[in-house]
Amino acid sequence: MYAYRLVKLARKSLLSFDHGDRRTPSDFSRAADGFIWLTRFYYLFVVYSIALSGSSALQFQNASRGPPTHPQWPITLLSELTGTGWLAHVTTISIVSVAVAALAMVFPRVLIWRLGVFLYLFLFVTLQNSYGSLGHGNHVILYVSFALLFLPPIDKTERRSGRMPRKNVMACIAVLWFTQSLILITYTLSGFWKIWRSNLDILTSDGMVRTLLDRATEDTVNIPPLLPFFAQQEYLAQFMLIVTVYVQFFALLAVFRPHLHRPFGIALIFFHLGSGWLMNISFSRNVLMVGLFIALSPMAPVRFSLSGLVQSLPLIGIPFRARARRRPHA
Amino acid sequence: MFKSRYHMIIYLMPLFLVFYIAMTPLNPFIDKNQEIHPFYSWALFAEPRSWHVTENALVVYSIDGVPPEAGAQYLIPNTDIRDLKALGTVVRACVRNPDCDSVVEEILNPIVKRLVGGDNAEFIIVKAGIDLRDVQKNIRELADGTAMIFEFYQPNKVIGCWSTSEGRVSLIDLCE
Repeated sequence: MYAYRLVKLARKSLLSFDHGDRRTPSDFSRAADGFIWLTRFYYLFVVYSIALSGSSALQFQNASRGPPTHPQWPITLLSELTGTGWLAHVTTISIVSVAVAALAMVFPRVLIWRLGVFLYLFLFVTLQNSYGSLGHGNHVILYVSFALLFLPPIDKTERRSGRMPRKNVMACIAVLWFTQSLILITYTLSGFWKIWRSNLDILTSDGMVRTLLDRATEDTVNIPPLLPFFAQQEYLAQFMLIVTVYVQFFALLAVFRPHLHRPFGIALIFFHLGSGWLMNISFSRNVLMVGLFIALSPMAPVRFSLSGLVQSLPLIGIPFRARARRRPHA
Repeated sequence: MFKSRYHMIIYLMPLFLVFYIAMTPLNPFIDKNQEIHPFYSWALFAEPRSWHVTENALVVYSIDGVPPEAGAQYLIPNTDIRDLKALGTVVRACVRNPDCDSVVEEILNPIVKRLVGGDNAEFIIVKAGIDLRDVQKNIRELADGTAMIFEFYQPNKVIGCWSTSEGRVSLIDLCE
């Protein structure tokens, strides 16, 4: 009980800025329904990604290279339990998983289908990272599948009335927060490390250009389209880095500030597009996850409010919030 | 235990986030570039770069006894970045323990065989210095293909020399 009060206190005082945005039960119901629709699109995307052909498909491409050379712990555990014979059946596993993900799309409230998708993605990401090099383009889609495991089932009351009861509505909202938290914590950690390890490099004029050029020496097959321009614009590149670090570092706070959902979601999508055009780093699945669950967040205000956005901004919004508090309520 | 599923998630969410964050500092204890799967630290491009950097490279010495064409010696980094990451894993293993033939055989031999073909390819792993100011000046030439990145490489250390069929070999004096 004490922990719950602590969480409530933290949410009210530190994390929340929603004094002007009290929500009615019907708002929460709409948001819960909207979230269930977003999960359907998520599973539709999983179906599409597994069924894709080519190197970007969510299939076990690396399995053709033989047994993993640097197995991650789940692969080691699986190999000890069942041997490596399953590697010969990865195509069958993928085909079955397309069907399971399709069922999760149609019946997102049935745990068994969501669990199937989670296990498939976990196995896929693990195997792809068990050959000596690590990639992180599929971690977030895996995290989302984990959060979605907690969706409430359809109970008798709901089946009879066709309307989600209050307890399920709130459970859906909590799963939405969990999903958003798992997506955004990856950005907050990324921003944190950029500050922690930067040795004030972030405050120099050429830190970003050095990073871009160093990256270009690693991936020389294709020089990114915007790199030749930005490599000569040190101040502009550095400004972009500072904005990126700001949005990344405070990304997790956005979960509790609905006015930031859409702006931060869009900013993070542009961050990924920029990474692609400047560094050849494609986090296309992250773009979709951010787009679905942050930019299209069902908890975001229906109407865009500039004052709500500015007051919700971490650090920058403090004086605006203070000013708004001093103003008498109409 | 919990009043409702909502309360369960509200408790679980901060606990899980704290657990996630607690797991990430453990990653460097395994290996700087490894992770306790799937708890990645997301320390991407966090280290400040200086204008002088050092890169790993895999130079092909011969394919079935024939030297490769000029410009094709630098196999890695002129391929997919995942190959460069795999090379980084091998170099770290070799720096930790020079007796790293098995790691080279497991990780690099399949990549070299896939990329150059032939029955036997001999290759050298080197570390090379790069002045990023040179890269900055020539970025447009790099983009249009009139310059290649290895032209800016200044090899300064040989990690070792190997053959895909014979294991460690002595190709040049510095191989030993």
